[in-house]
Amino acid sequence: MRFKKLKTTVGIFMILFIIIVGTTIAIGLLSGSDNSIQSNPALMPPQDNKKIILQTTPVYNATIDNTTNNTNITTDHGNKNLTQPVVNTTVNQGVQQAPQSVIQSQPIVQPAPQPQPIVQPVRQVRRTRAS
Amino acid sequence: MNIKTVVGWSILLIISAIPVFLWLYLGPGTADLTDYGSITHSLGELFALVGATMFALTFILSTRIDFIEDIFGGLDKVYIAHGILGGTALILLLFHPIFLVLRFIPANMPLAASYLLPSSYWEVNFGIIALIGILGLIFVTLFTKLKYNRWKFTHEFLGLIFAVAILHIFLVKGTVASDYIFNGYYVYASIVALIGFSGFAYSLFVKGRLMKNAVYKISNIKTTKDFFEISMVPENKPISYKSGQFIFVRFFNENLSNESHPFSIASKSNHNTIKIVVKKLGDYTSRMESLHVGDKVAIEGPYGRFNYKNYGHDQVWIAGGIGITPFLGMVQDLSDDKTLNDKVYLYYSAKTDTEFIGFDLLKDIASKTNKFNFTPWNSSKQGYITAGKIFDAAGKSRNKEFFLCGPPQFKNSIINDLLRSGIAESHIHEEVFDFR
Repeated sequence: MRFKKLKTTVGIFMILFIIIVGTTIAIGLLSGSDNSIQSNPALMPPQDNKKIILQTTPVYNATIDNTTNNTNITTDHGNKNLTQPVVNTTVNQGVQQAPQSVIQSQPIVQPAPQPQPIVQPVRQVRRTRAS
Repeated sequence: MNIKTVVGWSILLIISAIPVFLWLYLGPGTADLTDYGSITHSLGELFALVGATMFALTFILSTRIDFIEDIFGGLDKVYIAHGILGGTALILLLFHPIFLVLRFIPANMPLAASYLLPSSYWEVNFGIIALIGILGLIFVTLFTKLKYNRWKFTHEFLGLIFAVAILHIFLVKGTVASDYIFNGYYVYASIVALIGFSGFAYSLFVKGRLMKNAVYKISNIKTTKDFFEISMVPENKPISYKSGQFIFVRFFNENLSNESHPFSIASKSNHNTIKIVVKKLGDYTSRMESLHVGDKVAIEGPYGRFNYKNYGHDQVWIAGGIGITPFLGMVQDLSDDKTLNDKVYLYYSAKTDTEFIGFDLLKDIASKTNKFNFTPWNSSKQGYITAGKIFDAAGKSRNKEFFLCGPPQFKNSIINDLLRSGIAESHIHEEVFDFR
């Protein structure tokens, strides 16, 4: 009986998983835009020991320096605090133009009243990666 | 569930929950649960960590190590825990990617889709491969009827899948070395990997060499239309066993595959001749026609804690069909047992009179001792046996210990009946045949 219940439970979750994942992939692919993970490196974490430059034109340019244990984020307006995780911003090694719509709808970097070096807790940046 | 099984399950659940406590007290804890995105992301991480821990523990449970069997009160209980834990691990791991992409749904479906698809990032691909692998192999285990040896072969690939999952666990974190889920993440991941790999390696490479497979040879075979009764004598040193236990038997015969199969011992404790009774149920057991007297046999074990001496003396034994085999050994011990104070009642249900196994032996012992009452039950004539019919003869007492062995439907029907009659689950002891 226990194995029968186990089979039923696992079977239900397997079907649920296939439906959710299948539907998500299908809708995502049918949406048309090229959003493969390669073209959305925001999904991935920054590589160790490399500097990554975010250019959220026309607002700010930001550099993530991941060469130290803590991630420093510097904008061209000085060191700023990020008001929200960098989730929807296109990030790539080197310089890349971020989608205008993203910048307009979700400004990433807010000007701070006065420049000050900010050492960000790591998990604020963690949202940019896949697990 | 008896107290030992409760202890075993408690240990499993505490170990499985360790990452949750580490996350709460050493990691970000509730401070990281600030909005929808962070909550779902954190749940995705936690489900993966707990699922991976359970996945690793399943390998330990499949080692057949003595002390684990002691903790759970029998190898059949260990295998039940192995199955349930493996199924639960799969469910948790299935939720891992779902929770991770929930933050993109429905706002950015293309992004969510790309998250779930393979890419050039192998640290993520390893996770996808592992998830598909465990999904497929557990599907094979639960929903297909592969021949035992083929199923066992497929099941061993779970070790490879675990290795791929470990690659995912380490590499996906390695790209953000400064980003801990909790302090000591790598230490914990290493321990999980060690648990899983040691269990798998032991089962695959060590167990067969450490286990003293006693060599026996077949001394007698009785064949009926539906059963084989096989007697085996030791070539060298005999194994030490108690009646009611079971052994893994490998027959060396050209017409039989060489994997081992579990069979209940039908002879009295530590008797030089081990007897098993095999019903022609499946492919393997049907081909046992080709066995001959003199064929070599490797015996691993014994396993199981299904013995009347482990519990109180006021007992009722209930057997269905081939489930009589462990009782055949116990009843022979019982006839010599001077310590037994109460009468043991055996109810033995079979579909027809010709399907009773060991009928003459049981009748003979019942006639010689007043400690044993034997009630054969022809279900085609008398209907299904029920708790009420058992209580009519054996009396109803909450202190009685009920021992059951037989087909799952037979056992489940009576167990439910006993529970409805007020018998505590801790007084019901069953032997499980099917380990898959």
